[in-house]
Amino acid sequence: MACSLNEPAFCSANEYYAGLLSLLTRGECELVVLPAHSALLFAERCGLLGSPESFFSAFSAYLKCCAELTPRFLEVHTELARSAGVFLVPGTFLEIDGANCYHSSALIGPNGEICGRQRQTHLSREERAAGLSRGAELRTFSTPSGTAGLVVGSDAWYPEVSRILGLQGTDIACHPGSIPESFSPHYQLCGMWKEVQQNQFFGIESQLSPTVGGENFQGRCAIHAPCEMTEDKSGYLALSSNKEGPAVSAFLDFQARRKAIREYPLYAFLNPPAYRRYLPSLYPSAGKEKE
Amino acid sequence: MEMGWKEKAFQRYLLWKARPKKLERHLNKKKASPAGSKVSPEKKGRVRGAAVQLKLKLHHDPLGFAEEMRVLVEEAADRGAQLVVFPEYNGLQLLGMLPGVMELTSRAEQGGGGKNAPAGPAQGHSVLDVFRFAAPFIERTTLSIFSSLASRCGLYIMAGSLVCLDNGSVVNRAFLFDPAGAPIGFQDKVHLFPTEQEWGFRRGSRFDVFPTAIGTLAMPVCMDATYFETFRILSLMGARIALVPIANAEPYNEHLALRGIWPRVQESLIFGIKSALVGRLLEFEFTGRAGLFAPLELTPRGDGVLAETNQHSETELVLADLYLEALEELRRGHPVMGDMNPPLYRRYFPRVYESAPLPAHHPPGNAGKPEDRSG
Repeated sequence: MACSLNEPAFCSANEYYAGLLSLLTRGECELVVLPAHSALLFAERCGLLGSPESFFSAFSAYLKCCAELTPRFLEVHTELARSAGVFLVPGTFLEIDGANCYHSSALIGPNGEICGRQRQTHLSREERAAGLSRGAELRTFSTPSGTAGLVVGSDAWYPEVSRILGLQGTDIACHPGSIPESFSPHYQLCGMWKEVQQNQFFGIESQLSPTVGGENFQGRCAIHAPCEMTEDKSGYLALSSNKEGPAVSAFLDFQARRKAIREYPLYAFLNPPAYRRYLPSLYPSAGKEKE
Repeated sequence: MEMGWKEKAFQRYLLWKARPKKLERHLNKKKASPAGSKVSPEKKGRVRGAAVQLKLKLHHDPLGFAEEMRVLVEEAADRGAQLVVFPEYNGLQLLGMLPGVMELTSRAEQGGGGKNAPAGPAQGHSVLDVFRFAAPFIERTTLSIFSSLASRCGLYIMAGSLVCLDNGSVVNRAFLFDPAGAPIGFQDKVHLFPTEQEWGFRRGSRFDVFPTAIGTLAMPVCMDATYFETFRILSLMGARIALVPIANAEPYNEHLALRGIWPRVQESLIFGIKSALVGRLLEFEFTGRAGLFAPLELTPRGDGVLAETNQHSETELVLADLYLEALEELRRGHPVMGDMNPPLYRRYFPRVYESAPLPAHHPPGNAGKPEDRSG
């Protein structure tokens, strides 16, 4: 299931918890993904950020109380996952590690334990300006449904991320995302849809719908699969009809996916000897890295 | 299969029939279009590109093929193009010079083909045999025609990709000519389509870019655009316009068609020109829409499309202007793209590729001729 967090409407942690628990238990889902900036939304709606005038000021206010807010946010979601009995990707939050601050997500098991965290590895211009750091690792997580990987925020637009996760065995890529309203409506197609098509895994894409810090968002929640698996070849197992849709869910048919890969085995036609001539040496050298 | 004396003699006859002097004489007989001649390159960073969508029509006479190409190049020149891009497998039209191919094609079109049609144009010969036999005259004829047309119209021409022989192996190779008609370079297809792998084609092992007066060009071929690595490498090497010839043998579907050049242009922030072979040859029905693509921000509707043909099965030419300076500006200031994480890449590349499955079929035609794996 992919949730936009357009529902529930809430202005306290209790309302959030109750509303989301109701949504999570509605569809008999095993894996639920919440959108990016869920922690920011949670903190703002619960009145923990004051009255931010912009997204950036909400972000800055969160950052100041990050050490307190993030554990609280995660606590709510570990309890949610346990109560709903689902694997839960709680969207994204900020975390401090030494002098660095990361935009991160996590996978929480149905027992309420955090299976692991994933830091965003590529940053937008705004995120770089805000002083965030890049994660240095891409992990996969075994679940009874298959191996999951987390594609956090802007990472969906960097094909290296999904390729690394895919080659490490990811069956389901979970993407907490957010697309500002000012972007082209075609922008979303450049993210998880294309990554699913070139890596042939499932994609659960949650796009933030509510306004945060006065900023509006436009993405739609979707469950992706290789085009060959969908009747109209669109690659969408489910797609919310508009950004207001609270959630979409779909059954992930692993047998059908294996068949699709067998008939069109994209990874079998990769050409690593050719890549080795150029990568990673062609990437900018360490001295030229943008920080 | 080793060629006998009859095949060798016939091959010599075909080469004679399609001799460059004869083709050049034919093309020079036609009056050059004044509007299209010697278009000046690069006006304030603007390049007008033309993408050809070409319906496959067999020719039993190379002059017919030359004429078909001339009409398209001159139309592009008349409309102000500085660069014309032809599709994958251009030159297959010349298979019509082989005895029996026309008849086989007609039979396939009348319903005698489909899945029961022979796998190749001649019974008893593999597809690879036929391509090995035909490649020399296809290559010489096609290149001769496009060299003449490039100099005649003063244009850059990507001749499409052709079936070529290289040290005994069959490769799918794209060629580029400058406005003087001189060859600039070529690019072998690096990612084969499963059918090509089964036929025994040899895949390319390197990527190249071609600096020109209209920007740095690259020529990934069809399936190469399915893999982000292609465009990432080429854009890091400096390519700003990728010319992608395609020949998709599948019923047209807009979502399937969207999986190639369009996403690659968005993630690498360069321009892309897609040329498409359409129509039928034996059991293969080719479909596709030629077009010119740009990052979303540089397209009028914000959809990444500058121009695209209106249909997917007939010959059509589309043109659009590519603004290189605007592209550079976007690359410098894109709100999301443009970040890099070299420590992450060094951590996983190329090691992570070791887990990729090996190709399902070892190319039989390359037995004893392993590809260059030196890296």
